[in-house]
Amino acid sequence: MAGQKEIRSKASERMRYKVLHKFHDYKERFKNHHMCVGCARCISRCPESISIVSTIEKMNNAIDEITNNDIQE
Amino acid sequence: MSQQNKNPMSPCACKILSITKETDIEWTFRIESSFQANHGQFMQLSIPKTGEAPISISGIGDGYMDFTLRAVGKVTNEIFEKQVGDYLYLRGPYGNGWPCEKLEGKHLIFITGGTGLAPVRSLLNKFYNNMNLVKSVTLISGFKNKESILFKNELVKWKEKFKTFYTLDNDNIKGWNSGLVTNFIKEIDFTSYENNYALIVVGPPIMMKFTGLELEKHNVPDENIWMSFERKMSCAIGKCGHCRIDETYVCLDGPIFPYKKAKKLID
Repeated sequence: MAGQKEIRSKASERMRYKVLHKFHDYKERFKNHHMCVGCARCISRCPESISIVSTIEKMNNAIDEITNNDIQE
Repeated sequence: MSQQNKNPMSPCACKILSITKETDIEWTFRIESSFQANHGQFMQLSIPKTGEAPISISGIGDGYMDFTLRAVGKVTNEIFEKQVGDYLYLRGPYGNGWPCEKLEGKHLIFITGGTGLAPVRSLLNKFYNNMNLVKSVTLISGFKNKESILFKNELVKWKEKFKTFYTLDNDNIKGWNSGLVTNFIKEIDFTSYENNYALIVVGPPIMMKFTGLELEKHNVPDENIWMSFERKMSCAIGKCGHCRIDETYVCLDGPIFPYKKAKKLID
């Protein structure tokens, strides 16, 4: 690790890390709260207009689609 | 001065007692400290206004600790400019340490690659001074080339009581074998230990992965293998998440993991 390049070099890896950190991994490890409290300061400040709320909605829809497809098959 | 600070992130200044130049780029700093640490833990070394770096403890003694590090970045480059008598700031110790109760009384096999020898050096010295704690010790240590050999004096000393295989990947010099460490796993007779053995593997991530696969081929059960991870860290107390892999915080649950868990820790 010493002197190596960054671990997460692609934007997709960084987005995955951020979303999982806020909504899954912290509570999984420490069992008290999620890291995102829903204040929306990140949405109003984002220079690329990425909204974490719409990211989560798209993820939920995708997971519903996958589980529905599994049930139908 | 009490070592217990109310603020868990505030370091305390410790004097450098000696500097040993193991190779051109890796030096061992002996630092005076009264922190109580277990083998396998790490400390955050810092220089004010420059930054912090997590370094594993490579030696524990009466009132001092050893740190073997390589100059690769902002903080470590500046640590190399310090002289004996200067102060470095330490906080710690962090991490879970080697599970000594699960290792004592067994046949131990250490497989290390390059600077992976540093986090196990204090444990090797503990067993060297107290061979009745374990049944036997085997050490397979590999380095890239003859310029990167660390702890030369101790490698010779350990030959007296341990079964040793020292190897170089690329060079060929007298007294050393040649080839990767995974080639020497077949020299170990696992059946003679009657399942009373444990393995410790430390090294670059690629080496740990291939060593694990090679050990699986020899039918070594997963619960006998322990690995130590290296990660970039920031707070080291389980808050910032820089060292996090999925829900495992390497600074809290590690850096030492049993192989069953270490297999699945991929970022």
